[in-house]
This record gives sequence, structure tokens and C-alpha cells, in this order.
Amino acid sequence: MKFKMILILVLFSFFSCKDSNDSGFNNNGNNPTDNEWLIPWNEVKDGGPGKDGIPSLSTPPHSNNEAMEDYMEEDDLIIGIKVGNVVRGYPHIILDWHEIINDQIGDAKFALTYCPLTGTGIAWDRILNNGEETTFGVSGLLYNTNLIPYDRKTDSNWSQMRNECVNGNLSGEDPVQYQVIETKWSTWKSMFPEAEVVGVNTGFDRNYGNYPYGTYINNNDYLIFPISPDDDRLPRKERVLGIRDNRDAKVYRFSSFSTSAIQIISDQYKGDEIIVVGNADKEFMVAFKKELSDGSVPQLIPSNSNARFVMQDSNGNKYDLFGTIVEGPNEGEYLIPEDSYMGYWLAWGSFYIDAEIYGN
Amino acid sequence: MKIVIHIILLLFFMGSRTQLLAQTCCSGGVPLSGNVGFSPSNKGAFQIQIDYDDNVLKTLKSGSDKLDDDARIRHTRSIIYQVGYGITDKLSIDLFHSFIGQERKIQQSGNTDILRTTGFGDLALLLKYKWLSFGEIEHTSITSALGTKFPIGSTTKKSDLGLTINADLQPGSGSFDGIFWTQFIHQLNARPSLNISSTIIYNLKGKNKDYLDAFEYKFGNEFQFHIGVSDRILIGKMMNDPSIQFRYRRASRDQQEKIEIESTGGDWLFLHLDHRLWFNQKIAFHAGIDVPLYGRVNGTQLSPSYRLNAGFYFLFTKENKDLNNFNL
Repeated sequence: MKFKMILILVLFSFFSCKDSNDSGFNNNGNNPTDNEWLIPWNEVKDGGPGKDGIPSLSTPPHSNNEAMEDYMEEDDLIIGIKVGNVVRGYPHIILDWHEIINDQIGDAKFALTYCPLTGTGIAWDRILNNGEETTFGVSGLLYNTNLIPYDRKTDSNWSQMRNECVNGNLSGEDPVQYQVIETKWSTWKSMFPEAEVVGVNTGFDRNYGNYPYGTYINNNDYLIFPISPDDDRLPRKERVLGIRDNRDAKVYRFSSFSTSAIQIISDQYKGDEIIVVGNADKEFMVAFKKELSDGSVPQLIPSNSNARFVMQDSNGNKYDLFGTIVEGPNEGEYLIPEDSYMGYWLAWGSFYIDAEIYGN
Repeated sequence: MKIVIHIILLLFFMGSRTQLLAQTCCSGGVPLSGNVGFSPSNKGAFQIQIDYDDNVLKTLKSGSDKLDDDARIRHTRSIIYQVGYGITDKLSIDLFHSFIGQERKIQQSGNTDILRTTGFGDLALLLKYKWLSFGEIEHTSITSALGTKFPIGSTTKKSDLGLTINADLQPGSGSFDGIFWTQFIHQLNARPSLNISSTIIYNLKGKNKDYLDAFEYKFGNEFQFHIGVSDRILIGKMMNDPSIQFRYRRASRDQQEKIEIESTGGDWLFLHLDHRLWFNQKIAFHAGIDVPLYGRVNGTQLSPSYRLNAGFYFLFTKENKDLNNFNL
């Protein structure tokens, strides 16, 4: 009798475990089809933390560079946005823990979205195409290991690097982008001494400064989620500047720039005459059309004498890192920014198949 | 007839709990492996234990610091069942299995996000050898076990969006694990009803080679050391076994493609209180609670907040157990 009982229990255990394909009871079993998503569904992954498991910030308090000194290392990266004369910085040490900051400068309402797994920071307008204002949150989903924010107005999902709503009522809409720059803290402080910076008083208790992904940032073998394709022409975690044009891209490497002086690379992309300004030691690269907002084409040279300026022209105008003339006869005019941002090569290589690499 | 009733009871527990939430290798280290292993039994003795286990993780920690953030709760409810059979007076076999339900609840920015998974967990089989029985050397018993955990639990549970859920919320681990277990029990001469016991459990975790259809994933190896005392006292007409135990648990970091994952693993010390009530010589009910006394996590993680556990024990043997012998 005892053996029968053991047998029954063992058999019951084994057979009861054949719970086939596996829907939790919260799963209605209706898997979304590719038609409902504009990206390949099988390449969308659950990132693990869950929807809003990584809490986005909304209009967090900002202070100045000095207030952040105790928290920032000289090599820590920071993303900057400029609206009018206001320059505001968003340190990676904050973004690593929140990924999205819904913010406002003057009348400009935007969301700075940052994906720690692809190293990409992109700012979107928070006014949707229908005129409604929204905020963005972290959906917990990833496509090609890249952030998928969702908008809280319609619950639609947006692919950060495709710069497009890929699921939901707003599917197919493109957000309006803001120009962003990225550099290291020491460069930022010298270029923008008067800047505002989002600080650690976010309302969340986090260990800012402790990178949450271990060795991910510099271990080229370490992927947390699969990518496709995995383009091996450059090291996966190399930070590059990518210029985007629809589904094509061209990337620029720090190794193309000097470590001592600021350098301007003149190039062509998709029929546009462009310049890429950079310095490997100061860790910045930015890209502009070779054209000012007033339609004129300035003759530019690098500026290495004053930390606040990266270029000057033959008319005596001086340009900051955002390409804005901040001193000179044409003050207020600006170089037309290219659709560009920094990110790990792994992301540029997987989102933009056969992306062109400058200098290769 | 009795056996039929017990099986019906077991089926009832399992069948009626389809709404239960989950428990996993990661969060459930103490709930699962903390239950492994019956006390030594004799030849022909057949033991069954059915437990309901409720494990709550809502304490967000960075290292050993508690963070002021209660937006996230992990709730794991399990039916854990264990059967043991004494092949000889020295050798016995234990089978350990569970039905697991997990819930992850996030309340943030006015939204509530709930993810639930349910399913049968992995199956553990332990072969136990009693090195020393009570009576051979005073009142001491030493038993060791070697076992394997078979990956029969699902690792492909999907969210309501149809996406495969992360490893730590899956009922199964997808890996064959090695289990080492050893237990020492000593009855005090001055008061034979008073036991001092200690248990060592080591889980050598294997690899899930098909994680996300792309990676090799390995949960961190786990070491546990339990030490405590229990007594047997008569209250009214029933025997009662109150016990207190300290449980130390150390989990290494998980690895993906042999690279350690930052916010996994840590050290914990729990206080475990339990009370067992004997209805007769062969049936008992127990209820217990685990509360963390200390916790240090790697990186930033949810850490166990408390755990409740209750269940029935059944002994089937030709001989009547003499509860005054104090040899559980």
C-alpha cells in the first residue's frame, strides 16, 4: 500500500508538471501579433523590473554644478539640453536609476529618455501630435536591448532608438526630438559653469553613483538581452556618435578625433554637408549641418582657447557645444543640428543594419 | 481508507489553488530548501508533509541599508509537499516538490502593475543516510543526504503580453542542481525532550542553457546553516513541540554567460519560530514564521520581509510512534 502511494504521488508530480505552454493566470493567452507591433514581436523582451518598476522622474528639482560635485566623478557622463539660454544637465548617475526624466524648461515640455543598456539618451517632446500633454514611463520592455518608454496618456509603447510609437493608439507616430549633447562631468563644468543640473534629491531613495549593472558598461562580452544583428565591426560597448536618417545611420568614433585639440571633421551624409566637432580627451562629439539657422554657411575653425567655446568663425562668432553662437555679431543664431546622439555601438549596429562607420 | 483521504486532501490542496502565486529559486531560497529533509526515520516508515508557504519580499535594500521605497512587493505562495520513505533503518529517500504562485506588484506614478505566474516547481530527490541513530551514542543522531533537483518546472512562463518572464519569476530553474544536506540532532541528558539541532544545506546550482533562447543562466550557489532548539511539552492532552532556530543563508550572485549579475545574491540571517502540535502519534500540524534579523544584498534588491509556513505531517508505519521517546 505504501509503495502504491509513493507511486501515485510520484506519477502525479510528473504528470502535473506538464503544464504545457504556460500562461500565468493573468495571461489571456492572446499573444500580440506582429501586426499590432511595428517591430518584430519575438525581439521584444520583458526586461524584468516590470512596468514602472524603474521609476521615471517628473520635473525633479535641479540645482547647479557645484551642488553635484560630491556625487560626480570627473569622468561621469552627463547629457545636456539647451532651451533658449537655459542649459540643463542630466547625469548618468541619476538616469541609470530612472531612465526617463519628464521635465520642462520654459514652455518646452520634454522627456529625456535614457537606456543604460544601449547608452542612448534622447529627448522627446511631451506634447503628442494631437496636442495633448503626456508623461513617459518605463514600460519594462526592451527591443534589441533598448528602452521602450510608454506614454501615460494613451499607454502606447514607443521604441527609443527607432524614435517611433510601435504599439498602441499612437502607433506609427514619431515624437518631436530635442537636441542633446553628452560629455563627461569635467568637460561639462568647464563648458557650462552656469548650467542647471538635476540633482540627487529626486524623491527616491537610491544609491546614486553605484552603477546598477555591474561590469556591463565596459565588458564587451556581456549582453543582458539578445540583439539582432550583432554587428561585430566595432567593440559592442564602444561609445559612438550616430547620425540618423530614417532607417540609415552613420557613426563617428572618438578615435577619429584628437586627444589634445578640438577638431572639426567635414563630411557628407545623405547629400548634406555636415560637420562633426569632437575631442577624444574631453569626450564629446556633436554633429551639425554646415549651415546656420539664418541660412548662411560659416567658415568654421576649432576654438581651443576658451573652454566655453568649441568653434569660431571668420566673422568673429563663437559657438558653444550646442552649436549656438554665444558671442559675436550673430549671437543667437545656431548651426542646424543633425539628428544625432551618443550610444553603444551594439545598439547602432543592431538598429541600423550596415550602419556606415566614418573612417572605415 | 485513511490513505485515500490523505490523497484526496493532497489533491484538494493542489487543485483548489490555481489562483496561487509563485515562488522561485531566487526569492524562495529559504522557503524551498529550508524545508528540505525529514527528520531521521526507520525502515518502512513513510512520511508525508504538506505545507503552505507564504513568503513576502517588500524591503528594498542597497547592501545592508534599507531604502525608503515600498513601491514593489514580491509575494510567493507555495504548496510544498514532501514524501519520505525509510528503505532501511539507515537509508531513506525523500521526494520534494511544490506548486508555486508568484505575484509582483508595482505601485508607481499612480499606476499599479501586477504580474502573476503559477506552476509546478522543480522536483528534488534526496537519498539520506543515517550515520548515527539515537541510542548508538547517547542521544545523538547524524544524517546526511545527497540529492538532485530535476528541472521539471516551467521556465517559459509568459506575461499577459505574451513575453517570456525573467528567470527569477519562473517556477522552475531549468537546471539540474546538486543538493547536499546534513543534520545533527542531540537530546540533552538532563532533559531528553529538549533537542539541539543544526542543519547544513548546500545547493550547487546547474545551468539553464536556453535562457531567453540565447543565453546560459545559472542561479547562484547557496549555503544555509540552521541551528536551534526544540522541546516537547504536554499541554492538556496533546504533545506540543515549540522550536526556535537561527537560519543563515548565503547566495552567490547569479551568472549569465559566466558573468556575474550585479543585483543578485547576498547574506541573510533569519529567526525561525515554529510550533508543532501532535493530534496523535502519527499526525501533527505545525505553523511557523521567519523574520529577517539581518540582510545584506548585492547591489540593490528586494529582500525578504517575512515568511509564514504551516502544514500537516503524516507518519505511516506499522509501529506506533512513542511521542515520549522524543525521537521525531
